[in-house]
Amino acid sequence: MSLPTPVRIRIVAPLHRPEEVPDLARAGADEIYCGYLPPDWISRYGDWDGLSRRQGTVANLSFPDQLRRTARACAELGMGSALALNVRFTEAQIPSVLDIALLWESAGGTSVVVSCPNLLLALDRSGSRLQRHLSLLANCANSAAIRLFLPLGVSRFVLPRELTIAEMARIAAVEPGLEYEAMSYHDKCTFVDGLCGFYHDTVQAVETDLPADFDASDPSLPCVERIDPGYEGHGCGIAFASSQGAPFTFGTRSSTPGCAVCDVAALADAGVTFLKIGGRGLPLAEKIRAIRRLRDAADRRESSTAGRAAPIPPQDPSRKGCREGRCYYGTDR
Amino acid sequence: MNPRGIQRAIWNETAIGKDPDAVDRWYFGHETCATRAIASLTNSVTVGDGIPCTFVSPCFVSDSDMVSILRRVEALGKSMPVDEIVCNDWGMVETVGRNGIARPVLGRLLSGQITDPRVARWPEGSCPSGRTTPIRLPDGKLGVLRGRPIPAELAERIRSIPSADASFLDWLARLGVRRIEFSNVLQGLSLPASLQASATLHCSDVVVSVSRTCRPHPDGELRSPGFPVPLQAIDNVLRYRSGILHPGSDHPAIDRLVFRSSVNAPCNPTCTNFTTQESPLDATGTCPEGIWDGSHPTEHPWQRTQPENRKP
Repeated sequence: MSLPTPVRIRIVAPLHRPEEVPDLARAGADEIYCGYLPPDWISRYGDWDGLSRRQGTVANLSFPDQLRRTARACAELGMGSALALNVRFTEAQIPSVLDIALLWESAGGTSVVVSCPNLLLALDRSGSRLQRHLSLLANCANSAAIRLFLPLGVSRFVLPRELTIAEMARIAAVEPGLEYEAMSYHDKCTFVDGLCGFYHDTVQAVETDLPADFDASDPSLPCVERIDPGYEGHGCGIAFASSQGAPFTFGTRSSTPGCAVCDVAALADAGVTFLKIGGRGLPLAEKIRAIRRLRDAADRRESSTAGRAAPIPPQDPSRKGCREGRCYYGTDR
Repeated sequence: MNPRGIQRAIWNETAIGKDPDAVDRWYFGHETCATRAIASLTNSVTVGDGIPCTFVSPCFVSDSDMVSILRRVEALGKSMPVDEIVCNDWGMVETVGRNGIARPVLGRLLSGQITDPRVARWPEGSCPSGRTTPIRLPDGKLGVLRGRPIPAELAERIRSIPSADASFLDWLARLGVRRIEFSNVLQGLSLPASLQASATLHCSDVVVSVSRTCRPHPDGELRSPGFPVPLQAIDNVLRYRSGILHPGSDHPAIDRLVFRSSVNAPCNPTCTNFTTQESPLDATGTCPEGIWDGSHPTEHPWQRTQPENRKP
């Protein structure tokens, strides 16, 4: 009896500074993805998540030189590099977004993460050779959706994190030979990202510990101007007042990240061999921790002579910190 | 149909017409739950007088659910004039367009509209630009946070709709889609002068967010100081009611208005799919707010200052 062909599992890590590339690679990342929010875009459209699903300058690169350095560093290490332009765009915005995509291509970036059919059509018209990854924001939940986007040049599909692994396996079985990617660490949310209309902006903490002589009208005070100074937070995290009086929040305020470490082998068996880590703006140490956990699980799967890794028992040290509701694809989803 | 040729459609989860003369089209189905959408295909009763029907298909459809939906639509088509399927899932767009049992319509959940009601505060005049708030800056010093008027391009962006893009509509037309649907969002709409498709406006409510599973949540309204309108959580949907028609809804391409007769139909108690855990409904399963009371005025609703779709 022949053993199953070993599957190479690839870790796709988030990045928000070019200097992170070597550390992410050393930790075990095979590819990176990043966002871009240049000053020109901010002056026209603000710094909310209108260009990719992450807001602000902390989670995104800001300048063409950063794009170039990121793409070059990845190329030197043989890593793929994707730019997330993964929200929907209007007709008026498409030329500017296409310019950004082509800037990324000229910098040496290998792919773009897209959910907007308008942008895919524009990339086609431009003759761009960037690989196109369909973002999970497209909510591609069945094989028919795969067939819809294939003619638009999409070569990889990031599946919605709300699918079960069995559903992913069925899609991959119906449409084999394609690249499938799934969220595997961080950024789990109550809401379906591709169906969520809440925008993401930067929360500015209000200072309450003020000196007695503080005068907010003092013109010499440094001022931060924002389009939405009253932004309270992402919709999943706001404590709403309910009719019954008790505050209610949709999301969980847990310090435990969304996690699919225990399901790495099952994902690979399902045909999902690209594992995405969320959290572009997180500290580098946290990204490295996530990569190492996934890499360790992937190595166990790849080295298993049986072709699949044994389930991780509940007492295993790697499960320390597991919390109900944080498991991406397990029974407590 | 009124003198301007605007169709009036009523959306009931299971199409039951009390007053068929008042409507031009029935909508039925469910946009966020496959189980309930399929159930509505089984439970819908025939509406009389040949009034055309539109089936609203859900946003999260598995391959097997898609097969089930299409078979049932085809079977139902023998007793009901179901000539449209609203597609809120890209796979449904592909399948319905290729299958040909009914005309595919691009659903509002694929429109790309910005549905967070907070953006309605952004345009000039509604942004509290004069207000200052004390903040602690990264360098530790005290400063103030202040609003600023939004750029013109952003003001246009929040009202514009990605699915109105001409090349996108051309692509859709090749898939057989010639009608697109929008929600009556609080910030209003901005559509190109010559929209290359017919457009439907959902007048009663706006979907803000969707979860795959029904989750426990409080009944009634959810409020927060930053939100200009209260939200309502029903089953796996978070939405707000849109009482009046907002600017831009009189665009000539909008030739159909959809009103919901009920948004609080009960979950199927035998459902074993993801979308049934707790139902927030009252014991009778009726809509406590009565989004539409069954009556229909003869004048165009845009002429009204008060919503027609509320009970007195």
